[in-house]
Amino acid sequence: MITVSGLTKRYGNKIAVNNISFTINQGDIVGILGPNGAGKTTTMNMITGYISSHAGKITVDGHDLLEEPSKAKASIGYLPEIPPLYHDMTVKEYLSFVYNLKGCAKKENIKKKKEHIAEVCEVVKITGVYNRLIKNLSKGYKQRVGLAQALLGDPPILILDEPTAGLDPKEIVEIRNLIKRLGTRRTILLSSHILSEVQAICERIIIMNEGFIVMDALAEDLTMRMGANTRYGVRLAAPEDADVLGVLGALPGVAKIEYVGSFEKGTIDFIIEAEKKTDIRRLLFDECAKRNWYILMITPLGMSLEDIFIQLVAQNDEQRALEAKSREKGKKDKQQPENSAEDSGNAQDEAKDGEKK
Amino acid sequence: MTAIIKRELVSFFKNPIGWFVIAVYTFLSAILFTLFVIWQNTSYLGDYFGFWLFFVDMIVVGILSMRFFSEEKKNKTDQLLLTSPISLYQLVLGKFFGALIIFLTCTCVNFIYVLIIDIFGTVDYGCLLTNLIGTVLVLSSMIAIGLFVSSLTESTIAAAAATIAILFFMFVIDFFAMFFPTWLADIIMHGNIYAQFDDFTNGILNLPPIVYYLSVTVIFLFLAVRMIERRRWS
Repeated sequence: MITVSGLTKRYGNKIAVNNISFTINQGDIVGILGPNGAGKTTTMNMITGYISSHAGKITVDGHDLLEEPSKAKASIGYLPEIPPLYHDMTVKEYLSFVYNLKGCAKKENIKKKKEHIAEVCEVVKITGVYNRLIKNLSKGYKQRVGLAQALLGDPPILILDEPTAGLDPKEIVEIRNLIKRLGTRRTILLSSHILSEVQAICERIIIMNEGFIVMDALAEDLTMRMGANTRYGVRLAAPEDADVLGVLGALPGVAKIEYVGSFEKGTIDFIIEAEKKTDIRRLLFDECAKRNWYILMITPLGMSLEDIFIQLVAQNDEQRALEAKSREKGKKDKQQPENSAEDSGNAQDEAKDGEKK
Repeated sequence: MTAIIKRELVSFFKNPIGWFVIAVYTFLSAILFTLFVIWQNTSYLGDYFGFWLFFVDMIVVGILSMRFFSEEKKNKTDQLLLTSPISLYQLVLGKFFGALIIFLTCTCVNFIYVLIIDIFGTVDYGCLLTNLIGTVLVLSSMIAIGLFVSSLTESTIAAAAATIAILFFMFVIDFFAMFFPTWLADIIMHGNIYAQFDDFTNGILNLPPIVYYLSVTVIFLFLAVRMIERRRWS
């Protein structure tokens, strides 16, 4: 459905998107995750044809974006980070304008204007504000109107750039549910810098950092990766003289134990980290029960997005450094035979000179 | 393209600024009509259409140029236009025809003056027709220049100021021409957007001024398209 290969975008000397490639198949819901400045919006802007790329190729629904821009763009419904709304128009006027702009009347499978707009309004639940000026709407409703314009013409692909940014928690949940519903018969690419949001909506996650793709995996894999570390925060009620850290630290499978503090009378808080693929919860429970220590709280400490970034970026840097090293080595290896050939040639010349003398 | 034209018209007539522009346009043209026709006790409309009306158009094109692309870029609504399945030429032409229709609507006020002359004197309909044709051609050139300037900047104020400055410079270009050698001065004076209008005011429909105005329009529309395209690549 969307194929991106070798995509690069530069802003002056800064490379915003650096040679990225990925494919999104029909029906996929894919999330692009990354911190601000990672290149998410730039990538989306290139796929939608808003800005051009300096290198690479984009194919949307089988149409090359450079060769058949109109056909490629007709397959996409795009909701940018700031919804492109004309505040001096009513919702009705705006959607009518977008309907005409997208040439929906010429599409065979699209219903008549009024019916189609009414249908879309029903889906995004803006029927109640249909005749109101856009400038008087709340941020949540503006976002919905933005989503409605993306849905006009029934495009098979939806591209949503941070669709829940700036919304209140109730609106966030509603928009997420709406996106999920829309994803049942559409291909969706959305960006966010909130990990839980992408996890809640997407089946596949692409993580970007500084213009590179640092990870492209199924959401489940990422969840497993996050859960793979077995770190727990524990609050324990134990006698003051008990050597809690010493005893529990000596348990088999415990990699590390770290004292945090005492936040309740007669208790201590600590972080316990198990070795990989080891579940220490049962052991911990048994040991505490045996010694009449009470576990008051046990909290799994998953990896935060920042932790994952740091880990992935470090891996990525390491990989790139290795690649650079191997390239340099390859160059040197190529140069060496030439040099040695030159050296031997020089030695022969010197020998000949010596003989002459 | 029709969607863009419609949007331009709706936006102009729904906005108080649109009606303010029409009011200013009507007020100024009424003053000019009084000065050049009624006080001169003549039915000749050439002077009215020719010299001073340009100043009014210059200011109004300047104000309108803010809305062309600068405002779209500023409000991020250009994302909707540039990601929709229309070409850049359709987009620019839509904006151009939208603005032209707005101007022609403003120009309709002139028919009141024609009616006044018809009641109290005789209207030279041939001369009126050439003046109207000339006005449409000059307006097209001015709008195309405004569109081009608007495509250069995100600042609406800068777009308006630069458009008015360029149109004013084209008005006084003759003054600068005298500092150049004769052959160059001739070329520069031929570039005067207002000098080319003389034939129309005299009731003459000549081919060179028509070609001149159409060329200026096409060139600046083309440049506006290239400029938007260039910004997408930068």
